[in-house]
Amino acid sequence: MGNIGCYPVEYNPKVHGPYSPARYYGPRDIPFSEVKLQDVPAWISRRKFNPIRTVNRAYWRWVFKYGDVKKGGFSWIMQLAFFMAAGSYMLRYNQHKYERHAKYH
Amino acid sequence: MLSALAPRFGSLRGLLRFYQPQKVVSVAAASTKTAAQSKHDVSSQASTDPDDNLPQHERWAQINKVFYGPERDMVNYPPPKQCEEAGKVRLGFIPDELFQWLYPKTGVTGPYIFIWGGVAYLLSKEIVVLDHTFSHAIGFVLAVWYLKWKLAPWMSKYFAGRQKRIEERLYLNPIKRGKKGYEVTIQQLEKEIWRQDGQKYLYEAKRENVALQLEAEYRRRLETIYEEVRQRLNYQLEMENAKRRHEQEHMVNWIVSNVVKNITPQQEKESIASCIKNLKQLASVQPAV
Repeated sequence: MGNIGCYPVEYNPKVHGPYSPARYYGPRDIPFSEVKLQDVPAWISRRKFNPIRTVNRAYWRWVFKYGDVKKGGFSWIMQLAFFMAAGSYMLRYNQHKYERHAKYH
Repeated sequence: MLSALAPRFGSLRGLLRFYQPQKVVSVAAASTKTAAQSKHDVSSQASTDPDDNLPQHERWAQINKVFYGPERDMVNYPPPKQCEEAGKVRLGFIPDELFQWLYPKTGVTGPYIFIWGGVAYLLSKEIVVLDHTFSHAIGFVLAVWYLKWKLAPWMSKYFAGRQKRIEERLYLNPIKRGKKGYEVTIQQLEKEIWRQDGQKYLYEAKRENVALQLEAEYRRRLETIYEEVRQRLNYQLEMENAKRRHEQEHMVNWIVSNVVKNITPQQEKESIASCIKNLKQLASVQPAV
């Protein structure tokens, strides 16, 4: 966490070109969607995990994919609304849990 | 409110700005130095970097050397490019990739079964509780869908126009301006070349003019010499003439005075008498009219 506000340590402009906040510059691995379920822990252990950078990268991937495009649409607003609704529901989940009708399901 | 949220996620981008590169150009130029420097001195190098004082084309050359040198991995890290259209979504917000990922595993109905089955599971196990706030969710969904129905076409048009304006302002217009400026510069330079061609003739004319001046000066000096020499010669001539005249006058005066001095009164009388005699003789030969 010592290099907040700086580029990732792995980023090398001579190899990677202009910096893109949506890119992971660590060692290249197979995509997560192609990983077998049993290999997932190994895959995660291979990967360097920095929560702030991960969230930041996810945010920028979302921005570049849905928001910052030439012919923008309405989908990013829908996603934002869904995200905020789900997030607020989860933040107040204890209040909602209190309203359960059945003890056993 | 939309205008505050919509433009390129400006309000959200501001939250995470401190993670973003402050100045790409300076970092790129600095990365030619050691890697540690470029990583930790981003902000401090922005002002003190000597590369900031380079001309723009040299800076671009340097940046291209860094970004597109021989080490560049263009296969795994191609240059970032703005997407033409937003990613495809189902039901207004679910990414299409989820469906594409599930199709080979579950068939075409699988994703919907997955979604609605998941919703049924969450509701039946009361993980999502149907309390009094559920009406808010229904109203929220209806409101969002109504907004989508009303605003989506207008927003698509607005964003497309906005992106076009941004592209024109940041990319096309500077190129156009630059081209126009360079055209003016080229015209001026061509005019200067034309003027340089004229300079050749002007130089020749000036050279000729100088030659004429030299010739005129030469002739003037020749004339001066001629005049001076003539004056001196005339002086010598006048001197000789004056001397000779003076000698002559002197000799004549001397001879005459000596002759007159030696004439006696007897000789004078004889001469007058002979003169009268001659006159009488002439008068007898040729009588007066």
